[in-house]
Amino acid sequence: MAPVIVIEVLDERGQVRSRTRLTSFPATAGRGYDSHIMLDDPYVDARHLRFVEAADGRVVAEDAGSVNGTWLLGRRTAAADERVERAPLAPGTELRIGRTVLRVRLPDEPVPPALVDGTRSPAPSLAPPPPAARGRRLTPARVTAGVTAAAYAAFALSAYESTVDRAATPAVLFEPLAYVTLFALWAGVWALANRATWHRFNFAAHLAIVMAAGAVAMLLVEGVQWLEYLSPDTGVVSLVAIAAALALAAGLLAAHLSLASAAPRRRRWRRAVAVTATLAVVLGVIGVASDDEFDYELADPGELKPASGRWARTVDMGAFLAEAEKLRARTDSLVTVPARAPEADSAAAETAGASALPHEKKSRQRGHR
Amino acid sequence: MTTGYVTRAPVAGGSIRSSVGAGEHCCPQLVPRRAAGRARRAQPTRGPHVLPDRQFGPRRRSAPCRTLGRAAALAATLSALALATVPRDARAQQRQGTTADVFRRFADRTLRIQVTEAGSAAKASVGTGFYVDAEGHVLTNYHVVAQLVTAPGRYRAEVAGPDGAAAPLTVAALDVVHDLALLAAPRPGPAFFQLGRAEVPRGARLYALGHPRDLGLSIVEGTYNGLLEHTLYPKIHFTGSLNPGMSGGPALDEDGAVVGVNVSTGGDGLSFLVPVAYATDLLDRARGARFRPASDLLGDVARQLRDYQAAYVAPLFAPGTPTVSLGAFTVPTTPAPFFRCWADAKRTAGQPYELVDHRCSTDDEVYVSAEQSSGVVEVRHRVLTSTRLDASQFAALHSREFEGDGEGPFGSDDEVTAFKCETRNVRLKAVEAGGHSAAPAAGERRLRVQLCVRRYRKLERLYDAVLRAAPLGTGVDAPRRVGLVTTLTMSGVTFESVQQLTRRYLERVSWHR
Repeated sequence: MAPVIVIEVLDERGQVRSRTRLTSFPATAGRGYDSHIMLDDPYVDARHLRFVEAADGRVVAEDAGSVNGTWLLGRRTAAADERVERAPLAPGTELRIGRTVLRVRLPDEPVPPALVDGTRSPAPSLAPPPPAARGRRLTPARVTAGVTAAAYAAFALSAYESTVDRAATPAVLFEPLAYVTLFALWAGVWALANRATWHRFNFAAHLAIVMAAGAVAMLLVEGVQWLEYLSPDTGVVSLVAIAAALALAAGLLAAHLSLASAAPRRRRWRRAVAVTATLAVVLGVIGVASDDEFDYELADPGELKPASGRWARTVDMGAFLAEAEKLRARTDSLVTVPARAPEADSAAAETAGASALPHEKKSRQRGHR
Repeated sequence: MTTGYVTRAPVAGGSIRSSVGAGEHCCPQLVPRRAAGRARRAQPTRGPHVLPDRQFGPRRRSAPCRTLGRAAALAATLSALALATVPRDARAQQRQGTTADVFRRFADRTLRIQVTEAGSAAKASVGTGFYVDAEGHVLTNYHVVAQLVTAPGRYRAEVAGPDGAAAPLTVAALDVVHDLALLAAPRPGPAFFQLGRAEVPRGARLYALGHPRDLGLSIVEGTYNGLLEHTLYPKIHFTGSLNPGMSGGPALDEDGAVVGVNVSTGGDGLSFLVPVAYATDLLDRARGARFRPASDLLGDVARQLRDYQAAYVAPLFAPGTPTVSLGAFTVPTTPAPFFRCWADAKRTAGQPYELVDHRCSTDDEVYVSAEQSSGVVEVRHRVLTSTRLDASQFAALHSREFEGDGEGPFGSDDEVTAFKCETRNVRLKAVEAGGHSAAPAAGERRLRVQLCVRRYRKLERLYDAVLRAAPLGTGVDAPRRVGLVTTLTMSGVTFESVQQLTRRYLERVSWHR
């Protein structure tokens, strides 16, 4: 009995684009119209691959002298790919021809149950919902709506707890609304990108992603403030906070890209991390550059949190003054004495007249009597 | 003191910059309180020393101010004309006779000091000075010649000689704390004032000589009104109209004895003189055997400021100095007699909290340069009370007040570095029972403390510092949540003083539940 196999054609992101059932051999795959499996990949030959039945009854793929060859995919890395002339096929075998990946399946490969189409179902029937639907209440639309609503509630609560003035009510209404508007703009930009790649906007999903990221950022700020409240001197806190913020930013970008980009997962993450790192470097350079600017600003003394202070890490007065001693060296280091010295000398001569010069050394000695 | 001070006192916002000195430039009293606060914020200079007549620079008056000034000048001219043309009685005539006599006898002992910008050879400011010995020493205010000290090489001081040619003046000795400078002129004056320790009764008539607004030597009559009480060192309260340009001129009694040196004005005929005793001391010091002409003037200034701060810092916040109870909190107040305190409470209808603002400040400051004053200490307590906010909201309010406007006292990049800060939670030992705090805090006290320090660039070993503290955990107890933010601002102090004041100050802050 002739073997029957199924060839799946995968796109660049590893999604199945088409499936072809092969029942008679030899069969062909290529860009030509006479192929059994027709591929729209410009890197694929018109007649690229041939499927033949071997003497032992197994199906073997043979390269038909193609320009770019046939590759047996490695398990882990692209570097492990192996160029082959002949490859015996087994379920799960993946071959790359051109930029297309073919995967071998058997006809008895299981598939997940069909999703319940809640939005287009006919009039509600009296019959109980099918058992499969009961376990699948978390449709993407519901997750999106839930995440968005939870994030909105978090923004509103935060606004309420930080408003202390009479005009509290409008602030509680409008502050989260301002956030959501901003996030919707962001999600809109991603939706346009999504549309350019996949011919659909996916706006709600993008909005859910950015709302979730916003809520996480808020929690992050809150957590850092609490850590600072309990121990305002830990430089580690700010390092952790910066690392967490960067990770969040990279995660946000990667999540958007997973919807809007055709690149494989590894490349999407690499791009997200690269953009975040570039952003961090630019901000860091700006921060360092503006650190030298003179102002009379005092550093932020940190948030005071609604807690008794019993758990706060404290130092005694002596230890605090010992820490404060560092400020002397830090401010002294800002005064560049050598730069001023020549000016001061010429100035002294100018002010006190030429006769002052011989006295200069003596008067310096006199300086600390 | 006059009521003028009291009404001017509590200006909203700001720390040192809003302190009320013994005098002001002419504008702030003429505008409403809030606007005055804003004006000061916008204009980094402050201080009483308006008397050198500067055409340029930050002391230039604003347009409305100039208009008012013109109107006042016109009014003054008109009334002077009226007085001059219609003498009321013989006594007035006699008085004018004395004034004319004083002017005739002593005018030649004063001189007009012009500070010239070296690059453009243009007039930067004008003040007055007077000869004090036969060797050609001239006494004036430090602030008249401050630019020679703080921006050396860029300015020179000149006096017009008899032939009209400008002759250079050099700085021989300084007393920055009392705002005096001794200059050396190239040749002795035609005559000089013998300095002593003049004692005159309150109400005695004094005659101030000077070059108001560089309009030529003028004589101003006024009365001696005793010494100011709320200053660290005494200043003479002179009721007479001193104007910019008269700085450094002598104020004489009818016999021509120098009683004081013109130094600043509070406007409306309220003026201040440096008592002659300090001038005598400076001259004696300059004549002493060990004296050599100062070649490191900034070093002298720094040393004098360090000695000065050591004297006034010593008693501040020491055990036994006054405290005040503001709600649940006991905090230091009136650290020394030369401090003055004000308080204000803000209870706005509908606002879910109330704020009591208590502040004390030295009434006096030491002029270092147009952009820098020293020797100001300010204490500020803000007490928050609320029964309507929840714990989180109260903490948000407390944080907002703690961070405040996030600004320290003004300063310029030329004079001071940026602030550097350390923030910690500090625990203090429990307060001993006693005092007027009914129930002392059980256990130790915990506060968030931030100390910010900046250094003077040109003056060795002098710093400005801002200490801010807020007790932890006072806002969690419902229904009555309380919170304190207390700030101590110090300027022109040594680092040792910063540490000493920080310790003493915080040890005098306590509260009960």
